[in-house]
Amino acid sequence: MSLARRLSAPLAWALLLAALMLLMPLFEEVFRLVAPDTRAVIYQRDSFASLVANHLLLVGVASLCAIVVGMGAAILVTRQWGRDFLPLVSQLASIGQTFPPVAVLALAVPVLGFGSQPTIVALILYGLLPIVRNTLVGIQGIAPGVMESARGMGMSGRQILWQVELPLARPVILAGIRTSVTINIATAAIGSTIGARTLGDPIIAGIVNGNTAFILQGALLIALLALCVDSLFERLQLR
Amino acid sequence: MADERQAAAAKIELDAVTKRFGDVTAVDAIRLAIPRGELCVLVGTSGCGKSTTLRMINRLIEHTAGQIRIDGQQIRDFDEQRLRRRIGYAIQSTGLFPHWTVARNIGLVPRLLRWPASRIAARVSELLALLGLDESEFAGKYPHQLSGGQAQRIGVARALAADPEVLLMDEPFGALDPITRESLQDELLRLQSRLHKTIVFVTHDMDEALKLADRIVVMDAGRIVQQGSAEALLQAPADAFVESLLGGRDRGLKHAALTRVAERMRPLSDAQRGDQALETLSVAADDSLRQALSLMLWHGVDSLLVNDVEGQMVGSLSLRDVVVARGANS
Amino acid sequence: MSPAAAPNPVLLVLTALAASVMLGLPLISVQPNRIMPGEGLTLWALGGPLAVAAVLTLLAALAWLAWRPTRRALATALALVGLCLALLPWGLVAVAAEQIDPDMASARIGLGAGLWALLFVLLLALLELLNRLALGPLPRWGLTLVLALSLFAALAGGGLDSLALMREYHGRSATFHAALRYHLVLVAAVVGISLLLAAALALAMRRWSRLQRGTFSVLSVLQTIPSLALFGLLLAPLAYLAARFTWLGDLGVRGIGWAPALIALVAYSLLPMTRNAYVALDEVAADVTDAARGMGMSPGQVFWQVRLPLALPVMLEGIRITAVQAIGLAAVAALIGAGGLGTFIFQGLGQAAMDLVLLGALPIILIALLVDGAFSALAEQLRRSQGRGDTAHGG
Repeated sequence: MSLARRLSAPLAWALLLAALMLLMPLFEEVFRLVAPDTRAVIYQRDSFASLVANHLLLVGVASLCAIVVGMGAAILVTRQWGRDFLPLVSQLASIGQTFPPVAVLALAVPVLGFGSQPTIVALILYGLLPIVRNTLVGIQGIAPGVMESARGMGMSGRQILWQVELPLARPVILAGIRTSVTINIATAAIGSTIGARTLGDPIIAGIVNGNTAFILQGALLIALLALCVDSLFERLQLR
Repeated sequence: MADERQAAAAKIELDAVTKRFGDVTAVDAIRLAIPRGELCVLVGTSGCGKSTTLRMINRLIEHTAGQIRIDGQQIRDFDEQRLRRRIGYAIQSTGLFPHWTVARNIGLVPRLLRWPASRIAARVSELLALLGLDESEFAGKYPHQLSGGQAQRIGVARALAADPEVLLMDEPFGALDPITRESLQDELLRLQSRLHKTIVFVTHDMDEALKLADRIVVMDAGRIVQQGSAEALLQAPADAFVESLLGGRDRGLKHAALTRVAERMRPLSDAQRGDQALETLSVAADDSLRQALSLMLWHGVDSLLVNDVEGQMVGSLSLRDVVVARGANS
Repeated sequence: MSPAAAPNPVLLVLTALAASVMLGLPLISVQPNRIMPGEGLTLWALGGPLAVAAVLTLLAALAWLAWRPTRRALATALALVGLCLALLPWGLVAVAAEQIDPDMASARIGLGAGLWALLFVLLLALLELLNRLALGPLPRWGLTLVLALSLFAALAGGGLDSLALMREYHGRSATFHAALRYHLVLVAAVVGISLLLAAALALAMRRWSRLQRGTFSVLSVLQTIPSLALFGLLLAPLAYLAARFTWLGDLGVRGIGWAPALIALVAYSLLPMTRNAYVALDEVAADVTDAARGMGMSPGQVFWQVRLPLALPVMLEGIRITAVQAIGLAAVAALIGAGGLGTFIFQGLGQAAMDLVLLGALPIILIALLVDGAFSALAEQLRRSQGRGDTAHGG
């Protein structure tokens, strides 16, 4: 009951997303209102379901990598033997966040070419930064007294990490992951311009062909996807 | 001279003053008259309404019922900001503005009162000197560069800046270490002996109250339980609550701390001076009986010599003099 | 004698990275024209064994300094790294003069992966050294100025004109400047408008605290919606409005163009701006405002003399976040015809002309970094002049 209640908001968004994704053709008449002059009102080149799935796959893979690498790096540089790298890494993470995601995406192309691959790499690179930063902030924000007493009780480094540092830093780390995923969902959509198959496709196609209905379909689905994932994180953070 | 003093201080009257926050009665129909130039300490446990009472006097909290008068005039008849500019206000966390220098902080109220700049500058120097702070060192500093004791001194200086008739102090020394606290208490007593302000001072520390107060007002659950001089409270606590605030079985020591050696010592005749010259242990006439008692306990002696300020031997004090029945001497 | 300092592992790692990057990756590529892919040239190909030996000696010197990182050694290393960075454009000038036949007007030099990686590693080393030496802002800005001047002089001398990036620039310098101006104006308008709106919202929320929850949840939902989607969602209603009210259309309001860009960017900016303004005003220590009121300051005086100045550094932080975010998002707005530097990015992607992409992306990154640095410095300055903005006394 409490689980169902906790998941009610993300579930509602997910249901809305699924309904719109599968039943888009039913709303043909509605979309015709915004694009009365075009022949095809519903985007046909790909099924919306496969676009949603691919979008999620890109974001999921990239976010997973970013979480593993980002948290790993932050944990490494907060250990005694990694301390030397801490100032550089933390500065890099905050400077890196001023780089616009579009620019990072665009810069991945010369190196990696077009397609899903450069999109994923750009998403990982950019998604790393908030995670690294928040993990650092979370771990360093723990009261020195807590760490000292943990050491004083004879906990090992590993025990302190898993039982003290990570649980205490959890809310901050989760907030970082949430930021990272939110940005990734948005950036992945722009990945359409470099040849990744995402929910940005209908929007780009709509802009190119002057078809407002396509744009609206893509925009609605991306917005719903983002809201669904974001509300999931919101619930996760509440715990 | 005496008349001037009277003009510089005001009489505060609280007449059946009540404060209710919703259903909760924080202060319950209290009556209190604080004469000019008196240092009145409100003491009690946290939540007893002492701070609320204080903050009603400068209308940071509006009272629900009753009357508060300063010099016979109801405080509601004043514009609240003008009222506050006439009343000094010092609080525990100092409330110094972190983005202003010490000098500017002290000059706050004079500036609000639109004093000319030269007069403000002169007043700031005067106050810094009064509080024993070197102007060249402190005037340009920011609050975060001060130690706790220095910041609190500046807080007091700021409260005194426009030479207010009334000074409200809300646990001003509560966050300081014992040694700093003691020296600031001494400072306050020294200032008060010169300035003769009407001071309302809130604390939860009974020792502080006993040390500073002309009159102690003990509050509990929004009511005044007892008021009177430190001596009077120690002699006859009104109930078990006051007695426990006074330290229960430690009361004797607290009372001893309030009594000066000079009040109990036996003056020496010239002949006696010669006789007891060999005895080395001595206390000052200004020390408290408590200090004398402590010396006796520590050194295992039952009598001490008493010196005056110049170190001249003026009398002797025996254990019997110390433990003479309460009230016999007062 | 003081015990020898432990080796600095960060610098050692960076030095090793620099060595592998310089030896392993092509530094530049020479292209006969815009479309033909170029031929990548490594350090060996460019300068032969002599160049390789010189670079290795330099890196060995750096490694030696990192092994015994006394303050003096670190300062020497800093000078060395700074020199490398300052000379990088001039090295390119020399390489360009050698590799490009002046008669071939369309031949060009592309910057290779190795050069970018080298630049990145050198900048990291610079950051690390500045950290270790804990230099004040003055040397930092001085160093930045020297590097910028060196780059500018190399550009102005015309020695870098055969760089593909410069070829793209010279081909459309008027368009570039117009786009740059447009981008900046759009961002400035977004920051200005959202600052006003955020101030109004923050004040309203302080007055009516019930507004707070609703406002923040609406704003954070807005922030969550991806930019591309928000532009798209605005398209239909704006097109409708413009068609319905012709005066709006006359003003330039259309489904595509600056109108949806401005609205969407302001919508994104409202959350960070409002949150910072509200938190900043709200978090001014209660005892400070209590003392202010207790001293007899009027509500207006408390706000203007105490609350606002104390809130300013945090509010500046909000402006900084908003501006940096708007600079990046304005690039996306090029997709819906809003113009700006993003145009070059998407044109370049469309034509597979990577240097055109760079022409859009590099200035955007530079502007973002500059704005970020400037606002951070301003906030820092403000904090310092306010005595760190702490609420109470410290030790």
